[in-house]
Order: sequence, then C-alpha cells, then structure tokens
Amino acid sequence: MLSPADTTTNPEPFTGAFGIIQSQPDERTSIVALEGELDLGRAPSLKWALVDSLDAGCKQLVIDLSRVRFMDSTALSVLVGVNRNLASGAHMAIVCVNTNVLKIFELSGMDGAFAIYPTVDEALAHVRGSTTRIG
Amino acid sequence: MAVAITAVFCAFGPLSLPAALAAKDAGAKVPAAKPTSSAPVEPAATPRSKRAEREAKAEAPVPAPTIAPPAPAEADESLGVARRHHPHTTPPGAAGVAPSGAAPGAAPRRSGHAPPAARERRRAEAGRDGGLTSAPDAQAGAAAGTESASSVEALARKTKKGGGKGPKKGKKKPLEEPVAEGSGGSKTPTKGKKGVRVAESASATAVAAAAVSPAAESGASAASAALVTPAPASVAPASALGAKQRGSAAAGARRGAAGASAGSASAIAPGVTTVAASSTVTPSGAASTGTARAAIKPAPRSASQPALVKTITKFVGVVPMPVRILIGVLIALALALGIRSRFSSVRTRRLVRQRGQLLEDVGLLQAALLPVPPARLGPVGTSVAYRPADGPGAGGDFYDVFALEDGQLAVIVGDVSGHGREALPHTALVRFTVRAYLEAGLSPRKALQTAGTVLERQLGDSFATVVAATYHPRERTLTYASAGHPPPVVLGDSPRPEQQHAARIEPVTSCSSPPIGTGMRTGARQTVVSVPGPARLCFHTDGVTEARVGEDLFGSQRLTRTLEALERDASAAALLDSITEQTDTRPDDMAACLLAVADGAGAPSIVLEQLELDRESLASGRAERFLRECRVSDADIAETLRSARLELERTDTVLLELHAEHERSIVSLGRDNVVHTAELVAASAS
Repeated sequence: MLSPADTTTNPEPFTGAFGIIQSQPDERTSIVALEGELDLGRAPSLKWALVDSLDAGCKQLVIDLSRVRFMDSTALSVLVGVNRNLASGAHMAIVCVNTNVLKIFELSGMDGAFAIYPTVDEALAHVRGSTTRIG
Repeated sequence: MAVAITAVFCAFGPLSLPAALAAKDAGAKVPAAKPTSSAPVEPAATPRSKRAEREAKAEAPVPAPTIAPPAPAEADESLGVARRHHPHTTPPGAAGVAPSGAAPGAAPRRSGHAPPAARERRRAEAGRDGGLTSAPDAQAGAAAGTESASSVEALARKTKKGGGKGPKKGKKKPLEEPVAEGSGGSKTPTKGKKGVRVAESASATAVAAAAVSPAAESGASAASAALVTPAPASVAPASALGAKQRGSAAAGARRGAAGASAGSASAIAPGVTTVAASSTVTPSGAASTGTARAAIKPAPRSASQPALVKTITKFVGVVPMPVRILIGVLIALALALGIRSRFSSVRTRRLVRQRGQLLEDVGLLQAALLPVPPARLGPVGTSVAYRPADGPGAGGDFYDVFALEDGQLAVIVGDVSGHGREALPHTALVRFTVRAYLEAGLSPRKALQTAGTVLERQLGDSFATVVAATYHPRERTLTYASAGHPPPVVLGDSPRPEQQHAARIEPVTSCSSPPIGTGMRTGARQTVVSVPGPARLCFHTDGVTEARVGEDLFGSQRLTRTLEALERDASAAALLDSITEQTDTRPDDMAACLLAVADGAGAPSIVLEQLELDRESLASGRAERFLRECRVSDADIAETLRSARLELERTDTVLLELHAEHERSIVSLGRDNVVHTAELVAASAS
C-alpha cells in the first residue's frame, strides 16, 4: 500500500494494487484513479489509498471513476465514509461518466452527497474552487 | 502307534497327598463313589495348578517313577515340566507312545481280542481320559492302581506296539483316539520295546491304575516319556454318561496338548478325568489342557529370556555412546511429540465443542434478527429468505414483516454497512427503531426520516440502507420509502404471461434518499403504488442485484425476469435458490421478502410520488431531474420549481407531490405531509 512518504516525495504516478493509480498534481491535491471493478475485494484498497492521501496532507481529493466498470455498495460505503470524515477545509470530487456507476450513486441517494463531474478538470476546478472559496 | 506311558509325576501340592490317597482308595471305593464327590476336586484343581507346576519343577530332578500319588489335575501340569526335566530318565528311544493312539484305525476291529483285564484297563484309561466311571472301569483302574505290576507291565507291553508310531497317528487321527484307547489295547502290547522299558521303570509307581495316558498324549509323547497321572478314585466313579461326553472333550484337549508338545514332551491331562461330573466335563478338560500347555511354555520362556537379555545387552554394548544418546534423544522426542499430539487432540475436541456452541449462538442471534413471519398476514401471503454470502461479506442484512394495528401490513428490509459481528448490534438497532416508528403510525417516509435523525449519532462510522413499506389490504395500496435501498419490485400477475412485462412498475430513482447514518437528511421520497389485481411485491437487499453472472451483475432486470418465471405462489426461498443457480458468485448476503397479493384485477401503478424538497435539492437540479423522470412537462416543471423556491424562502422544506390520475400527473406542493390545496399547481401529464 501507499505510505504517506510515497505520496509526498514521489510526484510521479504511482501504480498500486488492484488498478489504483495515484498522482499528485500539486502538494495539496491528490488524484486517485481507479480501474476495473470496485467491489468488496477492492474496496479496502480504495479506502487506504484515500486515507493515505489525506494523511499526507492533501486537502483536495479527486476520485476518478471514469474507468470503473462497476461499483458495489461496499465501495460506495468507502466513499461515504471518506466523505464524512473529511477534515475541515478538505474537499472531495468524483469523476464519473459510467451510467451504471452513476445509477448506483442515484439509487443510493448519494448523488446529492458527492460532487460528481464528468471530467477530471471539472472535478479539479471544483475542489480548488471550493478550497479557495472556503479557505 | 500308541504307547502307554506310566511314568507318573506327582506334585506335592496341598491336595496331592489326599488325592494320592484317594487314588489308592480308588480301587475299592470307585464303585461306591458318587459323582458328587468329584465336585470338591474339580475346583481345587485349577487354583492349585500353578503351585503344582512349581512343585513339579522342584520335583523334576527326582525320577518320576518314585512318586506315587497321582495328583488329579496338578499332575497334568506338572507333567509338562517334569517331563521336560526328565528326558534323560527315560530311555533315549523311549518315545512315550500312546497306547490307544497306536492303532486308531485298526483298534476298533481288534477290540474284541483284547484280554478282558486289559480291555477293562483300557476302558478305565479311556474312562479317565474321558471321565468314564463305570464300575468295571473303575475297578480296572483300581486294580492298576493297586500296583498290579502285571497290569502295568501288560499295559507297558501293549504300548510297545505303539512305540514310534503313536505321534504321527495321534496327530493324524485325533478324533479316533478315545475309541482307540479302549479297543486298541490288545494290539498295542506287542509294540514298542522302548515303551515297555519306560513303562517298567515307571511301573514302580503304583499309580498305574488310572494313570494310563490317553492315546493322544502317549502318541504325542513319542519323543520322550509320556507322563501319566492317575485320576483320583473319587473322581473315577463319575457317571458313565458324563464320562463319555467328556471323553471327547478331554481327548480334544489332550490332543491340543499333544500337538503343542509334538515331538517332545507331551503333557497328559488325566486330570481331566478327575472331574467326573458330567456337567463340568468340558470346562475341566479345557482347563487341564490349558494348564498342561502352560506348564510347557514357561520353561522355554525362562530359558530364552536370559538369552534375549544377553543379546540385547550385547547389542547395547556395541552401540557407541553418541548413538545411544541420539537414540535417547529420539525416544524423548517421540515421547514429547506423543504427549503434544495428545494435548492437541484434546484441545481440538474442546475447540470443536466451542465452535458448535458459538454457531448455535450465532444461529440464535440470526433468528432474532431475521424472524420468520407467518405464512399469511391477512389476505397477503408472505415469505422471507436469507442466504449468507460466499465470502467474508456475511452479516448486516435484516428484514421484518408484521401486522399493524390498523390492519395494514408492514415490511422492513435493510442492510447495515460493514459485515460480520460488528454489524449485528447496528442491524438490530436500525430494524427495531424503524419498526417502532411504523408501529407508532408514522408513514414509511416519516419513519425513515425520524429514524435517520435519531440514529445518526448511534451508528458511528457505519450506515444503513433501509426500505420500509406498508400495505393497505382494503385500499390495495403499497406505500414504500427508501433510504439508500433498492426499491421493491412490483410485478402484476396477469393471467396472460405475455402481459407480465407491462405489469411491472418502473420506480423513479431520481432524488432517492440517502442511507441512514450518512450525515444527510433522509426520508425525502415516498411512493404509493396501487395494486388492484394479483401481484407480487419483492423486497430485497443489494446482495441480490449485486450477485455476479460472469462479469456482469445480476441486476434488477434479471430479478424481475426470475420472478416472472417463478410460480405465483413461489416463496422467497425459491426465488433466492433460483438466483443462486443463475449466478456465479454472491459476494454479499442475499435477503428477500415476498408479498403475494391475490384477487382483484388490473395491473399495479404508481398513484403518488412524494419528494421533500429543500434548498440544496432545488439548487443542485435534482428536483428538476425528478420531475422530468416523472414525465412532468417543462412548463409545469418551471412553474413547480418557481413555486417551490418561493415556498422555501419561508420554510426549510416543501413537499412535492405528483398524483397520477387518468394518465395525468397532478403536482402539488405542500408543507411536510400536509398538502396545501391553495398552493396546488396542476400540470398536465405528458
């Protein structure tokens, strides 16, 4: 798994297990891109990737689900948990275009809880704008 | 053939002397002796056998012939030992040959030629062997017992014939021995010089009387002198019948003994005959034979043991010290491992027991969380089913079906995030909280909303998705609300299968309420479905739709098709079984609750959609999406949103209602659950 040291000292994309790619455009922003199927088995990896990013001091978190084919309730619960436990001043945005995944957000009623955008740029703009506006 | 051996060894046991005396008296008393007299003798024989053996050993060095008193049973045992110690006392070639065994085959024919006296003795011998106790026999035995040298010699002479041949025949035709003993007498005298010599030397002993060994023994004793012990006189009188019966038994026993000592010393078990009582025949025979064998075996043991020990000592002496240490270590290791495995097996049993108890406890808890509802609640057939996940996902699902006071029927199905034991307390908490609000009369939406507010602080990091519903049997309406949970599948049961598809309700998914415990306001949506005709209402957890078919999810479409394929009265268990068959993996628990509504006619339809609007849902555009999904026209959407925005300036929430009447949707705005007709905005359906 990722350690805080990895995320802070290595700006290059990091390829972890289970199709998780983590990158840091800047020291305050972390982009976690996921690939494949986000199910019970991969939910823990997602959780630790996000937790490590936050522990490393990132306040702006973008979760890229564009290449996620499917997401189940356990992965959703990870996102819910991370979103709930965001420190003050920290912001999270989700990039998602897959209708299956969007449907899951909608059915679970969590589409209102997350800032969901179709592109990474829009998501980045959201977290940076929020940070600027609030911070 | 058989050779008569008359060497008699007596063991001077406690009873030996009396026995000997009895034997002496036997001649006179035999006729009068009663079977009962044997009783005391028999029991004594066995206990004394060991001592007799010892004594026999002690006596061994002493030439056998000198010892007169015939010990009944003890003598037999002593025989083996004594004989083994006396090989030298008997002529080298004096293979003690059993007389009767000599000519088993020929004997019967020649029996008639035997001199009366000899025949009598034979019979006496046979009688002793076989327990024969007829008076003549006894007398003959007595005659022999009274030191009639002639008889002894005659006997010895008779045995001559059998010399050398006895062993083989004895072994070969053991069954004929008893007969041969009695009848073969006449022939045997001419055989076996050596046997005679032996007999002569032994004949000194007056015991000759009943001391004639049975054919079998004598035959077997070919290699050495056969030791014959006379039966006590008191025994001799035993009933003839008993004697005969025992004859065969004793012969068999003797045979065994002879076989055991084949070629060398044979233990003769005349003692058998001492037990005249008919009833005790077999046991005594067996006992004496056994003891006879026992007497033979100990000697080899005593002789070989030292050798064995010596050998072992030699080996040990040769083994170098390091190897010895190594062997010691290995032995210690083996012991340690043995003890360890013993302990571990004990522990394993304990753990297995504990596991059983834990599983029982889990079963009880599961039953508390997953109750079994009655098969029918009013006019509605109900069934529930639960299938734990394949992997570690088990736990967290819950359901409940119960009747409300006003005759409605309530259903709760939910799933707590997190799995296993951690989810159990929260599962119970959510289920009973929601149930309580439903029973208190709150609508499903308000029940979830209130529960969400109450449970927000109690669920910690976990959250729960729940669907709560009430069914009104008289109005035939289903009212349900969801908090992040999949909506129920409502499937009208049309008499024509091809219309099933059209009878399915397509729920509106926009603006679904979030789960309980996510920090957001929930219980915003509620749907009322009219169920005029027969229909099935299927509540389920996401484990059902998230089961995997290859790389795909099972999904709600497949669930609907599966429901359609099932019989109308199929249970929830049948549904889950069918789903299990269709799917490859089931990573999450599956729970299902089926309500079967009967009678009536018509397809189910949504009659009312409610959405509690707040400023955020209005700002984010979710309200607009909801209205569009409900097929409200653009103009009506704009008008509705404008009215809602105005309303939200004065209050935090406003309730949006869409009534579907006659192909039209009537949108109304109200505060909370109360519709304010004054603010009603109507719009035509698309």
